[in-house]
Amino acid sequence: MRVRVPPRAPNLWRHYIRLLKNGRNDLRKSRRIFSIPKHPHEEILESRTIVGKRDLRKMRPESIHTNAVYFVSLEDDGSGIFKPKLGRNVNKATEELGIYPKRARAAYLISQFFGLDIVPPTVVREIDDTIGSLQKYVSGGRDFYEFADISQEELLKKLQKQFAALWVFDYIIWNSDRGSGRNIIISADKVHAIDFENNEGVVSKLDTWYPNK
Amino acid sequence: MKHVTIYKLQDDGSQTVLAVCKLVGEAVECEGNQIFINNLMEDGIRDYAELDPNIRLFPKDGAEFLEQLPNNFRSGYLMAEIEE
Repeated sequence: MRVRVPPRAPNLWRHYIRLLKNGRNDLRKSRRIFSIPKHPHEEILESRTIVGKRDLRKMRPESIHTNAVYFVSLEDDGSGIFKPKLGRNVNKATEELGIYPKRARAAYLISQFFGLDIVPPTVVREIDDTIGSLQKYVSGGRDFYEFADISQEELLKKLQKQFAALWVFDYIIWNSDRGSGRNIIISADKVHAIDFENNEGVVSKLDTWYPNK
Repeated sequence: MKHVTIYKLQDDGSQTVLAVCKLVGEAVECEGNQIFINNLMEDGIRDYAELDPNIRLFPKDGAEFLEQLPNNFRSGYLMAEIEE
């Protein structure tokens, strides 16, 4: 697989750290520095009017065991998955409250930066006075767990290049939350990596590399 | 009895039941989409109570497996919910 790395990439790691830690302002700045072309779906996710919002949890907010996830319908036939930052469980005392949307957005930008195109367009948006990540809904997507054994083998062979790209991507962001086919949606022979909220590896590893940042 | 239902998201935003898992004796038994259940049985799920992401839980692990299902299926495309 050919991955085009911009010539200045080795010098940009410090900027990655800020991007992963500091949120939206730095994300905007990063777009300029990295020269990441804006995907048309980002504009759709950022600007279209919300015409419907459905809570995907059956047990409602008082439930502590699930995270808040909404299916959001956008004007003119768009849709997305919205995860409010305060609706996420904070499992560890060390985790910054509300960091999850930043992780999702950062994962998307890094995927685009390296030309992998493996994370569905993801933006940080305020919906009903709540900031969260809004990711393009993958129509007809199937989880890896939904494929039969024989199909899984065929699938891995058929989509070998995409899984190789996914491996590279997970290595770049030091993804600690993939496992055997976890957090992958496959639709029309395209692999989509989703759910970066619980990837603690990305920040903790960078802290190790740059302890004085 | 406490059980976990796994829902699958449809393109129109509605959800259908993919599988229902419950504790029977010491182990968990699931009913529903057989392909999904087979993959659960063979691949297991991640145990988020452990730091090591490679530690897997299987239906034979009983209540621990049941408790961790919602942490494993929370993407929206598949949602696991503990229900009474």
